[in-house]
Amino acid sequence: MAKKKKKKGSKGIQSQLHHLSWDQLLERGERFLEAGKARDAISVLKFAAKRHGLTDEIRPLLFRSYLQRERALREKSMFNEADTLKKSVREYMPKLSQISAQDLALYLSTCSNQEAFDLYGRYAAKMEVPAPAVERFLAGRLLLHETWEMLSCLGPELPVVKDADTAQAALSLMNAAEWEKAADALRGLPRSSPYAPVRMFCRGMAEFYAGNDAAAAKAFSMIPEDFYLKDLASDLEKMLLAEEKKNQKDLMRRYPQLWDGPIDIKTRMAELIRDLEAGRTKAAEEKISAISEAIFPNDPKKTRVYILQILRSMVVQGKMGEREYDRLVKNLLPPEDKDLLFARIQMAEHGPGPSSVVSYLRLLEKDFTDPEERKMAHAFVLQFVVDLMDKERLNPASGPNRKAIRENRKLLGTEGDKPEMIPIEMLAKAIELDPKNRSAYELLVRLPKSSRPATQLTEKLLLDMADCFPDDPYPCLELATLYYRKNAFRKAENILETAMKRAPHDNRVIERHGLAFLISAQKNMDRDKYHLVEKDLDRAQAVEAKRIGPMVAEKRAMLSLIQEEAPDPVMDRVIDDRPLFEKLRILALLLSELNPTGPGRKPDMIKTIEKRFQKVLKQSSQLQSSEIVRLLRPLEERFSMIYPTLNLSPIFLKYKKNLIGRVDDEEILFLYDAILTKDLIPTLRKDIRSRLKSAKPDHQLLLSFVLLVIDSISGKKDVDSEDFKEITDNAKGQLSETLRMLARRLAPHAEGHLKKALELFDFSLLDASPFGGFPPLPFDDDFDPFDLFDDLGVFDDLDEEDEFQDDMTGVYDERFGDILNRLRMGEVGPGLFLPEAEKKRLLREFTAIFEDFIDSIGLRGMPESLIKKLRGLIREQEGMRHDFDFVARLLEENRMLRKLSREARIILYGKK
Amino acid sequence: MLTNYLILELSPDASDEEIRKHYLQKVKRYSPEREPEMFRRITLAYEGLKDKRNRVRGEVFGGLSVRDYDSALHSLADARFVKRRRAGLGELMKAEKTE
Repeated sequence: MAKKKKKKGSKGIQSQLHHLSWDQLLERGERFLEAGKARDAISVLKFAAKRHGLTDEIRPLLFRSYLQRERALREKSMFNEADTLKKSVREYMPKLSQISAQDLALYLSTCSNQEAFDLYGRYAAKMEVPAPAVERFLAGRLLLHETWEMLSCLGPELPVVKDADTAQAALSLMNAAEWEKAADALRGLPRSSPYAPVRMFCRGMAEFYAGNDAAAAKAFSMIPEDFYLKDLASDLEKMLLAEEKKNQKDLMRRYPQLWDGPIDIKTRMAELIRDLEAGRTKAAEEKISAISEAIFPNDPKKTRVYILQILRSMVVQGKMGEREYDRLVKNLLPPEDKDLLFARIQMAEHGPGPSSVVSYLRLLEKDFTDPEERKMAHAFVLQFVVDLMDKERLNPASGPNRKAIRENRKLLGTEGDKPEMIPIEMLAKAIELDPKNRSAYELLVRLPKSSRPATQLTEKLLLDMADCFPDDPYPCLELATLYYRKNAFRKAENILETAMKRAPHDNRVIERHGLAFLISAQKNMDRDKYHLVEKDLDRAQAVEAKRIGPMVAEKRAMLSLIQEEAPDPVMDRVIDDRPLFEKLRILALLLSELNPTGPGRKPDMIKTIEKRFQKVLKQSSQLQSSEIVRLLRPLEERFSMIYPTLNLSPIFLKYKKNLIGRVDDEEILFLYDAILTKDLIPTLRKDIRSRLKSAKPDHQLLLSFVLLVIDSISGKKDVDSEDFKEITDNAKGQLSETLRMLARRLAPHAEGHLKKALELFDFSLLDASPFGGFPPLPFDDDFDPFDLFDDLGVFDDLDEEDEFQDDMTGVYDERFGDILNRLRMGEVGPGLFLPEAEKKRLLREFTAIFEDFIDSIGLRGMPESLIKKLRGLIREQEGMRHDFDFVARLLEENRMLRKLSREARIILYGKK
Repeated sequence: MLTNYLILELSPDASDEEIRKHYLQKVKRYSPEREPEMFRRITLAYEGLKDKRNRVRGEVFGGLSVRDYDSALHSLADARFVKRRRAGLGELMKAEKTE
């Protein structure tokens, strides 16, 4: 059918040709040739030859037409047809003098090397000038087939012959991938040389390896279309300039010789994430194996472990089931590595107590074969758990931890069961294992120490640190603080002298030295030994520590006021010559110290100072934003020994509410975080609202985020993921990162789900199903939660259960009783109707107290089975059971379930 | 932790000396003026590895300290360098022909 059509088509053309003149036929034939329609050109030109004879005009055109057609057939891999057509090419070949250089080059492309070189030899001799296009073609042939002997067919004056030695030398360098050297070797060639494009290609490759992709692409683009390396050069150019990653990857895959490493690892990683999110665990498993091989061929298991560790966050976020994760681990890791991974998971997820790290410590030998590293790891684990216990204020001697401590004294370094001593003893063990670890000493200093043994052990460890770091003043400074607390003033001063010797120009040392005298002054002031206070203040002033200058002045003012000097002259003397910043700090510190019940405090005196403070505050417009921030930020912890409060912002904002409004946008967000307290929420909210009116879009987004968090924390608004989504969806790139950082900083101010959502920056947690949001624990199928309960040793004896119930009853009466009574008012009858808003407020209050209660008994993060057991104990008290069911119902009716943490939900509602 | 080793093209048992050597090689190759982002990644990776204590700490929790699995996995993939390998003309022509 197709043939018939073609014939008909051909006949059609021929029928149109009958009325055309000779010139018209030639013109049409040339037009078809130019348009690349070789078959049509052949029809027209053969018709012309038939009518007017095969003239010298028509022969070259027919030759070119057949050449083009033959080439087209070869490109379509129709080699037999092309070979047949070659006979026609030869038949119509004109005299050499009539062939253009382009036609000759085209013809030669279909010839053998011998034929091609012979023919060009004759052509060049006849024409007496070289044909550049043909020479370029022959140069390509020589480089490709290395048939340099063919050059003997050509005259020595031809460029392709003259430059051959240089090209031949460069070719061996090119094959050895020495592209820079090859480019240098070809440097002497003229631009007109048929080998010049090779030089350009070498230059492109040299730039490619130097990482100059733009220069490389430019060099590749300059290679002529008819040169044999053009296709390769075009591919490389496209690969380097590809805008679409996919196209680039396709081209990279085409030339794997150019790359070392997995080319499409990112695509495979994206597929892995998609598989996991869609629950296609089996496919994910295969991909993890393949990716691990590709990433670290020498140690793929290490990569598998690392990927599985990362994927644990999917389980924590409820995006992967515990069983699926367990299966992945089982199938991808050998048993001993699986145990190690789950021991690590237990340490990371199961609460802050020592019980969570014991399994891992027992396996440490498998994880770290090098003894020095093992000691460091052991020390780090102990430090980690102490840090967590401190942050979460966990009683380490309660619940499952007590049993863990008793059974693992050697591993944990604990000797007794005293709650205060346990973390200090664990840190002592950590320091013994890794004495050069500074952060362990820093944590030690942070831990609360009220008993004599705790102070003694801390002192010993700090003295060890002083020996271990002989040039460091830090242990001396901390020892000084310790000695001051013990009222061992002489010891404190001596150790401070040592600190001064170790680092005489260290500002920390100088300041602490001054502070030591201030502490001494404060102690003497408290003991009414005013003559000693004066001396101490003189010594503090003599140290010339810039930062404590205002504090020395404030203490002098305080001393004068206590000794009943009139406030005005005191103020004149102390603050008049000082800069505005210092005046304000001194007055705020004075006001924070003066309370109406203290010795020598008279209401008139306080009023006078307040008036002076307000007067000076009126000049606050002269303060820089950074100065206001420094005034409002809380003082450092070390000043707690000389001031009753470190947070001075309420004093400033009481007398000048809009002071915060003068802080620059760049600094305000972190100031909010630093001073955020319940009392200041209305002030902060007002400031945010006023800033929102004129803020730039990016800043507006950040402010809206803080406002939403504040509103949620204060209970002003019930927020869900949609509220946060509106903000987070509009934050891209760096802005999104800033938002994440802000969320993490605000998280400690929040509770329950909001806290978790802010920490993880995953606000879908706010919508988590009240009973299904958290994953179960990683135990085997035959795991019985009550076995664990027994293993953990909670409530080993009945007395302890009774004790808990008594405690619970106490908390219940003291904290919940009143709220429950008020909530009941709404349930009694029309006369005692409780407004909805008030009911919600009370429920929020109940939730906050309940969450606080959960924290206080260390229930947070405990296994579900354990919490259920506690629920059982609570419900044994009939009154409490009724009350809790009543509140549970109200919370459900008022759609406040998402406000509750996992632990609160399990206690109030039982099983999932 | 593994990501840091990949960025510096090191094996996980590399010594302090090797870590420093690779770091210096890398910062020479990726200067802060020419490739600031790469320079930042290299410096961060070095900070995480240069001290043995840090390395051990990173090893203890490994990927368990990660909160955003998506970006952690992508960082891991990004960290694996796809380096340019020296290939001669013959190899390239062969690849071009087979296509």
